[in-house]
Amino acid sequence: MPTETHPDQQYITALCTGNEALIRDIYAKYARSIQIWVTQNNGDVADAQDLFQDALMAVYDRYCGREFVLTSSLGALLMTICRRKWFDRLAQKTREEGVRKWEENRYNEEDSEWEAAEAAIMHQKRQECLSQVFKLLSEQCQKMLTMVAAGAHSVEQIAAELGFANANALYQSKHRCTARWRQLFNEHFKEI
Amino acid sequence: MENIERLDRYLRGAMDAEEKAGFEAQLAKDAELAKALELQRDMELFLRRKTQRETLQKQLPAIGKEYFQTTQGAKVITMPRQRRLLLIAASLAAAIALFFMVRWALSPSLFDSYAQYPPLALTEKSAGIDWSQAETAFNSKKYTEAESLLAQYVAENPLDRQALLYLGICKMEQDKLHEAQSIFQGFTPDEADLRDYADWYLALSYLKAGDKTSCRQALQQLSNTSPFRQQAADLLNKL
Repeated sequence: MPTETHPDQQYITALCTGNEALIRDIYAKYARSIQIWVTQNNGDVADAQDLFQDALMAVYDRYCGREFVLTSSLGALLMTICRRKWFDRLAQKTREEGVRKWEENRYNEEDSEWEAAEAAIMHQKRQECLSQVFKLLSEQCQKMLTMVAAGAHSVEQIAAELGFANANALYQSKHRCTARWRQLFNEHFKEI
Repeated sequence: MENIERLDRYLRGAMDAEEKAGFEAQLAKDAELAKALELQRDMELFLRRKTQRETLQKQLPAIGKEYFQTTQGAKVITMPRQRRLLLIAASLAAAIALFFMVRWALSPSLFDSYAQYPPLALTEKSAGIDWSQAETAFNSKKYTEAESLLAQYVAENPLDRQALLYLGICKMEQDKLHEAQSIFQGFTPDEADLRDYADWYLALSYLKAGDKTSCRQALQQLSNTSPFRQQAADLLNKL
């Protein structure tokens, strides 16, 4: 496995930081081939746009905020994620044909791309599930967890603002909120 | 709860060296604890990125609209009647003039004399599946059959851009010129070698369509290192 940083790493950094000029470059480089592939596989332009966007979010969820070294091209990774997601969607629509194609392609992929795509999709599913169940927490829990994670204020300041006696009381409450959030995630999350 | 506190302290770096070493030893043999730590990391990551992730989710559809477009989605602007009539008359005149120019300058043999393609070779690239039929069909100029087989191949091997190029040729040969042009225009400067071929075939597709102006422009835009520069210069003299 190569370990040198790939030049496409700049595009992932752009996704992580919301750099619009470079995000546009990603679209300019890869949107066309995804559109051609999707439209040749029973999809339309709107499907292609949606799929591409979904794949970019998967890349975001996989890499942003974590330490990583990209070792292959972003284009190949995006295409593999799109293919994987598209065959899943086909499988939901037309079960038999979709699943057959998905299975065929599953074994034709190069392993490293396929594994990277699978990992990205798994991270995205986890993040989406966390997001979904986070909304089920109380408003107080949501506010406290967000403020503590943001790190813009000291724990004492947050405790005072949210009406806790002290930092220790805030931590106790934070652990209860986290336990509830974790429980909701475990109830809702389905492995791929 | 106890575990959550420990996970939290571990991730915040609040454990002393001895406690940390003990916790890591336990992590190595307790799969459930390792799984719980992974989830705790994901939860913290979610909270840290929440605002930025939501911003990106709104940003992408707005950008995507500009890069994924259908011709049906294009705006239709209604013109005043008089202007429409003038435009129709001008278009008719231009079409008639173009028809005679095309007949005079662009005989089908001109396209045929330049439309020479290297043989297609897929067999050595495919693992397990026999694509020799696609090769045989293309190399014997059975473009309808080759197109169908290559479309399947490209669907299953989307990273094989060379095969996509040949799919474009099949479409061009069958006068599916817009589809062919769309494929040829999809090659990027990063794909230098294939891009040279795609640009040359794009010019040929305009030649086949009888669109002399676009053909000339495409020929003039070939890269300085294109292997087709000599042929392009010859063709430009004949246009």
